[in-house]
Amino acid sequence: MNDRSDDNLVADTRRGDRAAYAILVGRHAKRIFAICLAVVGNTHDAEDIAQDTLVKGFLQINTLRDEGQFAPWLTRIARNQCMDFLRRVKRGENFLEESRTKSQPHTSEYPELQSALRQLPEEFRLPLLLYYFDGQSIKNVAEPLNITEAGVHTRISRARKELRRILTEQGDKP
Amino acid sequence: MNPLCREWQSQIEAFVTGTLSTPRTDSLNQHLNNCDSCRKYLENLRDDHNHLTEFSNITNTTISRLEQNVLAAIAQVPMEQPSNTISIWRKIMKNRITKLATAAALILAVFYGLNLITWPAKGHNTAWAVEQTIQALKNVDTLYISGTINDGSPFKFWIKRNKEKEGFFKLRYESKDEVVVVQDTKIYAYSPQTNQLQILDKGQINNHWPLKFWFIMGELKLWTSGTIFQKMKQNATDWTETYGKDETTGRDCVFVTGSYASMSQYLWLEFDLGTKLVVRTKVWQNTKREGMPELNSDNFVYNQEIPDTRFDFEIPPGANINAGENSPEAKAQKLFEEGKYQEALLAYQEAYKKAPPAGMLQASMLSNMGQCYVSLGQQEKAKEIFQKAIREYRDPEVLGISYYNLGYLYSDLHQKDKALEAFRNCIQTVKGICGPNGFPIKNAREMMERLEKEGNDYPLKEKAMNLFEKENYQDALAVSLEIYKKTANPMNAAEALIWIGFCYEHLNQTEKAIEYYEKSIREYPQENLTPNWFYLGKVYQKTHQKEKALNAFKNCLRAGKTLPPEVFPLKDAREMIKKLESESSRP
Repeated sequence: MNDRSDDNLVADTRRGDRAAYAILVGRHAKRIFAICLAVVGNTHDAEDIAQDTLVKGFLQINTLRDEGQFAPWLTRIARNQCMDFLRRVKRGENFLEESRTKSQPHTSEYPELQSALRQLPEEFRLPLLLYYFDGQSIKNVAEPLNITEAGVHTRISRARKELRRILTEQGDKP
Repeated sequence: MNPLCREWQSQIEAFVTGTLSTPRTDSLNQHLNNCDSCRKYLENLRDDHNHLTEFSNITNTTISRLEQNVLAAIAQVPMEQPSNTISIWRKIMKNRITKLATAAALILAVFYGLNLITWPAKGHNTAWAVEQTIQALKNVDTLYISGTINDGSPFKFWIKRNKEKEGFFKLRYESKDEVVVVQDTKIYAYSPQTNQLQILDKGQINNHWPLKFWFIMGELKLWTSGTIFQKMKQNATDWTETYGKDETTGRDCVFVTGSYASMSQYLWLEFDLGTKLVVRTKVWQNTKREGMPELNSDNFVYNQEIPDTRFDFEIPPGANINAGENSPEAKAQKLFEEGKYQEALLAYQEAYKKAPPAGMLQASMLSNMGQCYVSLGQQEKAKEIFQKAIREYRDPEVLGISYYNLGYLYSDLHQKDKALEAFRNCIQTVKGICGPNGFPIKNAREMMERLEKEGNDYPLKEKAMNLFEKENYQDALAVSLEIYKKTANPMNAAEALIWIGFCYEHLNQTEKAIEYYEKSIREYPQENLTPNWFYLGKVYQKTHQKEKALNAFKNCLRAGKTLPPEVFPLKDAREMIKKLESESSRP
């Protein structure tokens, strides 16, 4: 377990220490993936966008004004990347097509669940994924989202109910 | 489900996620024994929970693949230097003491190795490359250098690596002007002319650039990462690598040179092609290599035994000892960092008076006074100070930074055109002396982009600000709603939501105010949320919702944990928490 703080690692990355950034990647990859999954709703695109986010974080590390704000800054990049993705998808441009064909074929994991996740409103999806997927405590989910712990419970609970409803409906379809 | 069971549902949620307390678990179990619908609810919930947990475990393979891909991608990226390094470097280099130490720095860089950088020799693919020097330096533990400073008087320099502790070293530099001794974590800097001695520990040197300089070398971060050499190469007006013969030994060698307009310096290094080690260095305090070099090092002895006693330092009798942290500028800096802006302002004023007239130190004290006024909310005073700096200091770096500060201030005051003009002046002034990604050129460019992006919102924002000043909240509300509706800029949207809440609050529509403050927090979690939480707390307090108010003020502090504790609204939030807690503890 590496106990160097994020701000120290950011400072070292700025000085050219790639190993420091590797620790940051290990620390934040899961959370960033969870956020991307929450927004775009499928693991394939989420993985690509999370990868872009983490590489972008490295390339733009010098633009981060406050070294102590690495996590929210990276979250912001992830969200922006996701928004760009969704906008492009909306315009009919599947910009990941090329990279997808180049990368290894992914195995589809739980396609019904992924499809159901996609249908959840983001305000439910994000706490749900941070809690289950990133393994964050309720308190740690609440803090960055600026909602109360009770609010997290409520949203996770509603998300689960909604998921169940969607999955049940999917199951009923011929 | 029995409506009475609704209360149990939230406990079942907590039970499934393992966060329910033992006494509550016991009572829940009792209830479950008697309630079919709650049991069914629990089963469903468990199914979902297990399903999701299983999904998250399976996707761990995705994460490890993701991490590997990211690391592979960044390994391909040529390492761009930190944009602030050159600014720091330039500040260091401008210092009186460290001008003399430039060559020593080069020597240290060479001594400790220049790993991580790829620095191929132009036109000579195999004859010499810095990697070979790095390899050769691995076997070097001590180095002695001698030569002359600009008036022809001698200097001597010894350095010995601490084999037990990586990154630690002993160093002694002696000239007629200065004796510097570094003993692992302690540093002595003595000026024989003034009989001034500075003694500092490593931890005390943060506010002390001349001494920190030696430790930057000691810690070797800039040097071992190679960034300093990358900077040297990138920022050189001209850069050459020429193969030739050493003038005295006739051995094959490579001469590396670069000139630096911003520092008025010319650097020259000679590497022996046989040993790959540096054998001479020269530094001129001009870019044209005119006159005597500031430092001319022409005698390099590697791996000679140097006794530890060489690095002892005896305090000269009657020396005027200064512990460094007591210097007025260091005191002021400390106060500023602690958020004590009023006291810092007075200390900077004192330091300004004591600094040599029209010098860099005086200019930077003035600039810091301006920053204190900004932090104290006295924008007019700050403006006067920055304008004074622009009028009185012709050094392009000081001018550039002053224009930048002024531009930033104008942008805070929503005076877009004036801000843009100041940023343009900043860029124009520092263009020749600062790379495109250095401070303040890059920052000015970013600010201009931001202001341009804000373009369409700007007239409306200014209109709203004027209405706020006139306390015309009804019209300010209409304008703020318009901004929120029209803007494409999330920062402006977040700001507009606070303004809307603020207007409603002043129009006594507290429910609406709460709605908009909450909305701003919910929709823009990436923005600075300290004022949002604070205003929300105030409305809750006004409407006697004490618990919610307390929670909001605490969230305000949480959101602002990286900010100085004295800035608005953190101090106010702390006071409100204290007040609310003392009220609730009263019988």
